[in-house]
Amino acid sequence: MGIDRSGYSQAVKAKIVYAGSNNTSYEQAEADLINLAELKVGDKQIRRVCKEIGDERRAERDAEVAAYQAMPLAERKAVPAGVTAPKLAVVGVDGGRLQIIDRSAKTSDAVIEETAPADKPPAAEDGEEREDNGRHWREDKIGLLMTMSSEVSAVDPCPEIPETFVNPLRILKLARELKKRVPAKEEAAKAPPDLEAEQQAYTENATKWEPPEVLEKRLVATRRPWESFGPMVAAAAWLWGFFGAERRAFLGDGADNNWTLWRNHFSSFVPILDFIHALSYVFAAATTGRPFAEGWKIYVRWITWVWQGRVADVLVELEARQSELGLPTEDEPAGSPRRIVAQALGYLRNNSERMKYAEYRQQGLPITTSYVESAVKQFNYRVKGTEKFWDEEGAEEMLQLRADYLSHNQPLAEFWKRRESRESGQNRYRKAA
Amino acid sequence: MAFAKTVESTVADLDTYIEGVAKNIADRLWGAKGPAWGTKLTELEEIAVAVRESLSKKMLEQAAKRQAATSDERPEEFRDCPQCGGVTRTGEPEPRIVTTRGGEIEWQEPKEHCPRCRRAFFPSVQRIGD
Repeated sequence: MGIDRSGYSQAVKAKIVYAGSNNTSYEQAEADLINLAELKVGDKQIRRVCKEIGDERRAERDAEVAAYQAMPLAERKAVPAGVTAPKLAVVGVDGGRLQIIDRSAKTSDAVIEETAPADKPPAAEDGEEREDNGRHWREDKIGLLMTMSSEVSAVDPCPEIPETFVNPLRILKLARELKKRVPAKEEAAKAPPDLEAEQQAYTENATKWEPPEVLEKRLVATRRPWESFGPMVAAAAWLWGFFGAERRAFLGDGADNNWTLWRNHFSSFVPILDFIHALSYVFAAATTGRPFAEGWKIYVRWITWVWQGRVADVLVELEARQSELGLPTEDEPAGSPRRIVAQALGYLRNNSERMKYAEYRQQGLPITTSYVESAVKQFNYRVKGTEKFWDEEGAEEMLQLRADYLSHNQPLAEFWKRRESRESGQNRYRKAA
Repeated sequence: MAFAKTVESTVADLDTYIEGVAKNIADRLWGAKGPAWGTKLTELEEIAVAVRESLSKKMLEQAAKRQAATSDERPEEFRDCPQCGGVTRTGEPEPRIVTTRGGEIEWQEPKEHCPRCRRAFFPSVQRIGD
């Protein structure tokens, strides 16, 4: 009958995993199962089932990555047999945030997430405050693979910067949002921008430019280090025939890890720095140490140049501004004009080769990471919260399940069939820790 | 989906019979004149869903019990140890409870024991794709 030794049929198990992975907590999953599926399953049991299935899916993923890495390089850059390479393949990477707690010394139960009233963080077992000092927050890595549809134009279809990027109210709001974010080094953990509003901004422009349309997406997610994350994204891209696509692009913000991953695994993809991140640096540098009206005019000039791919022109003026202000000293305060201009200079210099926005639009490529940031938000919905604490294993398992559910090809549908077929009728034993 | 189509056609084949069963149950529950005036649809729905669950449960239990009863007749591939492929010894059936979409079902599940692997297994599972 293809059933395992648990007390659930495969179909019921699939419902439990769906509820456990797509709700904000296991408690909510329990409520959904009883109300929507008339299934009475306790939150702890849901957690156990999610853990079991998440672990199986993680093992499958790791096996795919190992098989990919074992292939000769030429094969890794080719299209697998039976797969049709997409016309436009886009890969984006970014990071989210979740809280990891190491309880290995205290309990053998591998999990995980707890929920508590939102206004009252749970008391730590060791009596220490968990959340306030933020010491449990860690980064998860999200990889988004998209097939997209767009036209290649003879020239830049939208040389004029959209109104929204030179609208003081919107930019001030955006700047405030960016200011609230974590420091630039941790920019992967920022809040996502409004994807729909951004898409609308492009189409509102007098010169119409349609950003590429997402056809299908697949996701990869892990808590493992960037060195392990790279092969995971590359293996997923290979399986989808991305290395044989006519047009290939790689999106990221300015974080070094993104571009190391690009260099190691996606160097044949056009590297594109997120336009919004560039904008935030340009805005800060243009307006710092000046009256707003004066700074705004400079911002408009600079961001227009950035939009048109004329980063060198911005660098010339930024360098002049730095000379005018002087170089920051070692103990320069973070918000000082000298430091802000120096940061913008560094950012634009480091990324100038990834800021040829006019060329990207002409090629029909995306220029923002909003797609990836939107995906990060969908992961955060499940794993991020001041009341949510995971251990490493549990986080990895849940991230894998989230990635599966958010992927358009729904890999779990095939997984359940495989699982049913390979049931041996014996008890499964968990691997030793 | 091929699977869904098969299910659909299976049910279509039984449709006339199911209609008869439904009439019979309706007769027993509400008589020829149907439910009393003032009966809420929610109440009717509640009963219908409970009957559906009970029917599903009984059907699944029948399926499991009938298969278990033919344990001696099972094909060769369901006799060997799924781990080592060796010959197994038949043990005492064990009670089994599984939560399904049709409710909780119970039956006595045949059990085999592999002396070589020192593990029990339950042949009421498939080994397709091994």
